[in-house]
Amino acid sequence: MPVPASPTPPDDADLVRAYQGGSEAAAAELVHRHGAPVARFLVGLGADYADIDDLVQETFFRAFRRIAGWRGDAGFRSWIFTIASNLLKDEHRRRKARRSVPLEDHDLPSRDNPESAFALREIERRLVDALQTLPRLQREVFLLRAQQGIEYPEIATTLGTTAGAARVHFHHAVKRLKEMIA
Amino acid sequence: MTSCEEMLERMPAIALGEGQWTEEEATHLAGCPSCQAEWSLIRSAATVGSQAPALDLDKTSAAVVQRLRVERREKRFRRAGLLTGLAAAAAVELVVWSRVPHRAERTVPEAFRIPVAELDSLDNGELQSVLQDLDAPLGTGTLNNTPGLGDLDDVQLERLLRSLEG
Repeated sequence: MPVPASPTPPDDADLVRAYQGGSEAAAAELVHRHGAPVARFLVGLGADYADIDDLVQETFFRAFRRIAGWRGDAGFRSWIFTIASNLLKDEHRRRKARRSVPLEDHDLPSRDNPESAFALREIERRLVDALQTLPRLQREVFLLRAQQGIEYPEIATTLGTTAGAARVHFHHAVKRLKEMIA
Repeated sequence: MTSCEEMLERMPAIALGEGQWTEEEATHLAGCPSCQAEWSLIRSAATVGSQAPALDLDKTSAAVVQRLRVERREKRFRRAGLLTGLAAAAAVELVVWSRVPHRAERTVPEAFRIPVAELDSLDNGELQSVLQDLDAPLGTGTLNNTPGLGDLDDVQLERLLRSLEG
């Protein structure tokens, strides 16, 4: 079944239906559309840069195998994020190695020029490391909200909680991260 | 007046380029060290992963599609294999079944042949007579020719009574 031709680009639900009807092009389009955000989300969860290609591929492979599990109540991208998160959890469990670098004074970014690329990379590295110390739900809520810009109701649907609880998790995460990084 | 909590709620959208600070919010941010720290954090979070090497999405999507194709093929093979197996099993069952004697044709195994002592002692003529009686309709056989009590004379009747009393 071909990707439906319409004046506006097909939305995710259209592409999913087309894929279920046998369109490989629809699957490829979904990978193009969401691959980069999934990669960034995985980095935020602590994945090594070297593993990102494989993890993104595996995430989409798993997603298409269980595509019937996406019922459209949450966005397709949010649903993919949960698959990516579960995949990474499995990987961590398998490797029994969790990346965690203790924060040292010399890791603090230069306050003279905080916008420098080096400082930004350092802040990112320290943020990712700090994120790994948070409870899983706080970590995921924080990334979905701050990195992906997803609103609380959709985060709640994706993670199986309430919008109010998601908001509380976000605020707790910010508080703890601020203490660790500032 | 804008609160720190409201500021935090606004930060993700602005960090992702989906909005701008209002004048009031900008004033708050300039004078609030706590919000500045949070703003720095949220801005960093919005760019996490941006330093990672760019994905080759053509390659990734092609690999995903290829893996799905292989899996579909394997699933088809498995299904075909299962059907072939079932067909083969049915054929074997049919052959075996057709060679087993049916109930009507079955002979009684030697082990189940139980001798009847009373019949063993009869000669051929007597046995033939018994079998004829068994085959004959009820009340017409030779066994019914046995004399009744009324046919016995006194001596015979006396003997029968004694034998019954032991």
